[in-house]
Amino acid sequence: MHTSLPLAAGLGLRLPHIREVIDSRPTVAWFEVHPENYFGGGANLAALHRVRADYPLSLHGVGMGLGSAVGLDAEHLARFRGLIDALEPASISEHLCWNRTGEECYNDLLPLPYSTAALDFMVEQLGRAQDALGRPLLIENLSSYVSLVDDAIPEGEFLAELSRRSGCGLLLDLNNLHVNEHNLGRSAHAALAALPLQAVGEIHIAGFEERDDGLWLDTHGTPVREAVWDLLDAALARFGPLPVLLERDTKLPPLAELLQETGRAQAALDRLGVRP
Amino acid sequence: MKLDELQRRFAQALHDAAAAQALFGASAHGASAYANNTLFNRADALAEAYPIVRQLVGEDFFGGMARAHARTTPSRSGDLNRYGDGFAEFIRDFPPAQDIPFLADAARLDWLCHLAYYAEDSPPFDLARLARVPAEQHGSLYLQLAPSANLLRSPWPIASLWLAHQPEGGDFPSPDQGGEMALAWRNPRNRVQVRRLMPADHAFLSACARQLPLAEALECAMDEDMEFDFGLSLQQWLHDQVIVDFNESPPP
Repeated sequence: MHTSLPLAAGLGLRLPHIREVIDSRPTVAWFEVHPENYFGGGANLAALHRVRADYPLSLHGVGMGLGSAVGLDAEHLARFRGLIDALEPASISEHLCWNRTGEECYNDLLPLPYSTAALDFMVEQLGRAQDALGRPLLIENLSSYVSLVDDAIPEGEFLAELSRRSGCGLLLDLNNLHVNEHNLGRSAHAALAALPLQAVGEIHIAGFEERDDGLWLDTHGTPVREAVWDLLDAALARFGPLPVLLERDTKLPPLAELLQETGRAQAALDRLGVRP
Repeated sequence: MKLDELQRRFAQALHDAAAAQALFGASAHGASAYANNTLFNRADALAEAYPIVRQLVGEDFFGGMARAHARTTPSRSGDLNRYGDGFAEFIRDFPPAQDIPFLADAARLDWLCHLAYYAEDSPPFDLARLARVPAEQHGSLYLQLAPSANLLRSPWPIASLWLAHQPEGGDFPSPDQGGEMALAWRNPRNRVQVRRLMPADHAFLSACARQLPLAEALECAMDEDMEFDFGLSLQQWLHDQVIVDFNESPPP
């Protein structure tokens, strides 16, 4: 098992909602946060400890840049490890991406080529990162705005091989599959079919926005689209019950709206006959 | 293509259409999404870290200035809360910002408050441990400021300016009413605070920050004010967790 999260719907918790969660203790099975917002100490970390006292927690990193050819950032890993030791989360995760060169960090999730060389490199770096963090990671598939000339392996097969060789679990982001299908013509259902049943440890759902030229941007700034709810049903039918997370990062609505949308994810799980 | 070369070319492609075409082919139009994200993520990080500067110049001006900085100043860490430590110097030299001569110092204080917000936690001062040190050795102790505590000396009334921008208010100072010394730190309730310091207090705390022993720090304070009431000041700094620890030998 890669995580001990409940097989139920959780919500991505952002700082503007944390006080309300502590005060009102809403009915939701678990929360996920970005660890970078809690590096150091102070009010954010104190609030997160209070959330952790009442809910299972997932730490979902956005800043590690595992696939950066320049190597891992030891200080970043040490800070992540510090949070893991302090909070004992039910799950930790990161992305299949890179984020910096020797000169500059881009603070974004930049795509790796789906090549044998990139796969070998990711397996190596993931091994180092998991050693430094003391436990396996779930690795999330990206939404990508470009294809690379070096792409040779289909996305689903790349992820399956990464999991098999590194021992990582997979965090399957269905919105990213959907966005990639539109932007890059990669089949979401083919990716689902390529993933090994036991490797997937968590599912993400989110919304996206459309740029003027038709490019879909993975902003997590809208409710989940119907096509992604359909993908959720397909994924649950294939992989069985899993922790399902609703992500919302921009244009944050009131917490009550997000809880309602999380309820729809729970309903999809309930249709499988799963108890939270 | 080797991965490090590909990533260098990817970085170049964010601002070079020909490079994007070579690397991304038919999907090259997507490169601008990354260029945009990088720029706005940095500018948003500056907006979070510099609330007083933002209030002083307004959202539009701030956004333009932040993007100008973000275009020329790389981020170095995957943690965006660390981005922006050179913004005060950028503001000082930014021609459109010259109308507000104290803006760079307001930025310096914003940054110290930002550092205080994210600074590591520290356990409160151990008075029982201090009680075990013989009184005649107190002068050779090295008092330690909280990881969140930083000092600023400005030719502008910078602490009063900061306080005037807080919800609980305070009168706006006249910019030419003279310089101030400020302390920024996080109090025991985890709130970031700014306090205007008297010269003797500033001299004492900055001596502690420079790792001078207590007796020498006291001399620095007395040089500013012969009447300096060390007992009263120390009591407050311990209560407010400005001073959180002491060493009996010089710190490494």
